[in-house]
Amino acid sequence: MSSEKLFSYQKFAWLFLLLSFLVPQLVCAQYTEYDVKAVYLEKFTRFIDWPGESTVSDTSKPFILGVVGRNPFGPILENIYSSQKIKNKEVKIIHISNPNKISGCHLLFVSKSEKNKLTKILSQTKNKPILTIGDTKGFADRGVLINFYLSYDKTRFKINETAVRESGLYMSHLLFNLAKIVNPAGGKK
Amino acid sequence: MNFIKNLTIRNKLIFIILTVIILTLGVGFTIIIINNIISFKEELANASVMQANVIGEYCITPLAFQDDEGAQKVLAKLQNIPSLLYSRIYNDNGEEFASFGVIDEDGDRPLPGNWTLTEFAGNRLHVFQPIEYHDQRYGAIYLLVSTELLDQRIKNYLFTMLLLLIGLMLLSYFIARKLQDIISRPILELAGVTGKISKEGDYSVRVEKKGEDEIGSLYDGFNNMLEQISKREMERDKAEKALIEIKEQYRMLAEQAGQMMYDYNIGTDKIAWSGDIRTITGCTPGEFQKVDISEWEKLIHSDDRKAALTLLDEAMKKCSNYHVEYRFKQKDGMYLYVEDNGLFLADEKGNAYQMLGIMKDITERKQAEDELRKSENQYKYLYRMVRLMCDNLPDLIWTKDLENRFIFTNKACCEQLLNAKDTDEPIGKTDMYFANREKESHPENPDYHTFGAKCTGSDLAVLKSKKPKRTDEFGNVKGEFLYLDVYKAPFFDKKGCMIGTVGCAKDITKEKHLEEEHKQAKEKLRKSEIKYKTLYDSSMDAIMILTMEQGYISGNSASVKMF
Repeated sequence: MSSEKLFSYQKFAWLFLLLSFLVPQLVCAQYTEYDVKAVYLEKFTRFIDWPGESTVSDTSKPFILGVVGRNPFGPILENIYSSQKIKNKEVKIIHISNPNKISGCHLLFVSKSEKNKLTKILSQTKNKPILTIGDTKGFADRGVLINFYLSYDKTRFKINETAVRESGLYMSHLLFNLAKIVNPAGGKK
Repeated sequence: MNFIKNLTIRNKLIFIILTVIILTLGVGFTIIIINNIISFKEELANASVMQANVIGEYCITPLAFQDDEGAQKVLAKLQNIPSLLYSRIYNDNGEEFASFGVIDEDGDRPLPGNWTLTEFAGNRLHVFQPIEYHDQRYGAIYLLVSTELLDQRIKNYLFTMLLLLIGLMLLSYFIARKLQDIISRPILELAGVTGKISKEGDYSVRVEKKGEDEIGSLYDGFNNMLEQISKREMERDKAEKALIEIKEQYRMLAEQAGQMMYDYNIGTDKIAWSGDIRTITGCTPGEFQKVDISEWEKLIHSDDRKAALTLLDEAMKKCSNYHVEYRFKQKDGMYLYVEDNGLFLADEKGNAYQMLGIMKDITERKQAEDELRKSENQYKYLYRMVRLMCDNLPDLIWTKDLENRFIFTNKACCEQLLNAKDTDEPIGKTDMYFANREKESHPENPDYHTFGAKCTGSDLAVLKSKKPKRTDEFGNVKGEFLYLDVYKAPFFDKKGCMIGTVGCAKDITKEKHLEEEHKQAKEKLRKSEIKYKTLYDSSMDAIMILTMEQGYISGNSASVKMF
């Protein structure tokens, strides 16, 4: 075997290694963690019904999706929900910095930046049909209804069952079946 | 189905009842079994669809949140269902999302177009159901279900039904066997009585009626029939006895009358002979029984054989009566004249199969006929002779019946009186027929024919008195006077019955003319005598008549006065 031919084989091997490394990275790069979470926000609403007194049932009014604290989604939410409806309603995304202004929201994503203000925020949402969602460790235990966590690089979520009951929202058992239950309504599970 | 005909009534009834039951049960069971098997399959299909829907519901959120492990866990819970072989979840793009169990490629099915399918194939059930929530499709679920349990259930069910069917049939058989007695027993009793009657011929037995149903009526009818049969039996016995007597009498009569009877079997050509065989054939009855149809033909005289056989063939073809006379050879070689009268019997197709007949010895009759023939010839000869004699006589001769119609006339009668063209013409006609014919032939001359009226009167007088009579009959015939001296007498047959008159007449016209002339001459003489007597008596002169022997005989008045 000549050295010239050997060179061409080595060159082909390097190229193969490079492609096998890059292609999965490129594919994975299509959906980021917050892309998934942004989509999941709408999917949660499919299994949750808001009580009659909530404006969710009023189709003339938009579905208010609030993000309190630093927005981890960037433009993702706007990109997705400019065309995607929630509960068959137009989606209005609001960014909230003042916890006192969260009462009009139907869904409130509590950013990690609000870790210290969480008690105050939850005091605003307590016993109100506001679906609170977070992605910070311990938020579910503290009273956020749904809290994302990563398990083997897959986005999973916990549900605070007691908080869900107190909020007045009706959440399908199907959602409970998939989630890890925190603070169960009937005691420790 | 012919074997049914030979079954006993008991077995027939059981057979009929069982046939009806088996058919109805068979049809009923078949419908029920098919219906239930379909139900079992539908049940399994519905249960599998329900399972698919329940499992699919639990997979909604794993599908919504891309939790294939969660879906896998849900599917894993299905391992407790033994009939479930394999399960698979598809995402909303129709791609496999999760699966559980093992499936061979041959058994796998692609996702159907509308994502819904329930299909039995072999011993597998394929179920596809879409997974939907609030009108949103999340994917589909596929369950591959084994039908072994279903097959086992169907087998058990079929076995149970078969046992039930056999049980019901056995129960039906025992019930039918028991119940058929209600109908068969009276009929069998009736059959037993009938058998006894046919065996022993005892028509005095009667069956005891047990109910008022159709069999009761049958019993009544049977008893009534036996009553009638008994009566008819007695009447038949009487009739048979009478028939036997008549047969015996007839046989004796036939023998006495010299008749021989035969029964000819056309199929075998054999003839059974009876009656007075010995007289006709000269053989003993035993000897003559050997004579069949061909032997019989040989015994016919050769001159008569052809005609006898031709007539026999014609009668056989037409199945008509056979009547022929022929000469029949006796044992000693002599021939008898026999009259053979036969009758052919035909089957339903019209073909003769038997002939019955009588052969009668008519030799004497034939001889008598010969004698008669000879006698007739003699009579004819005599007649011709009498006819010749009568026709050559100048006198008129005739014979008339009771109606005054001529039976016989001689030539003189025809020519001189009747003016007939020959002696045959007057036969059957009367005097008046010819008298009128003669008158009509000369209407211009009423005196052309005046003879006849007196004839009829004298005929009637003879018929009335039944005694001979002599008359003078006269009148004009052919314009000339005819005077006949007629003798008529009644005509009797052998038994003394008057059957007509016979007559003869003599033409005495010339004699009558002479007599008339003599009479006239005599009258003239008498008148002359009277005249001379007057002169004699009135004469003044004495006139005396004297003879030589007697002297004075007479004298007139003048002579008397003189002396």
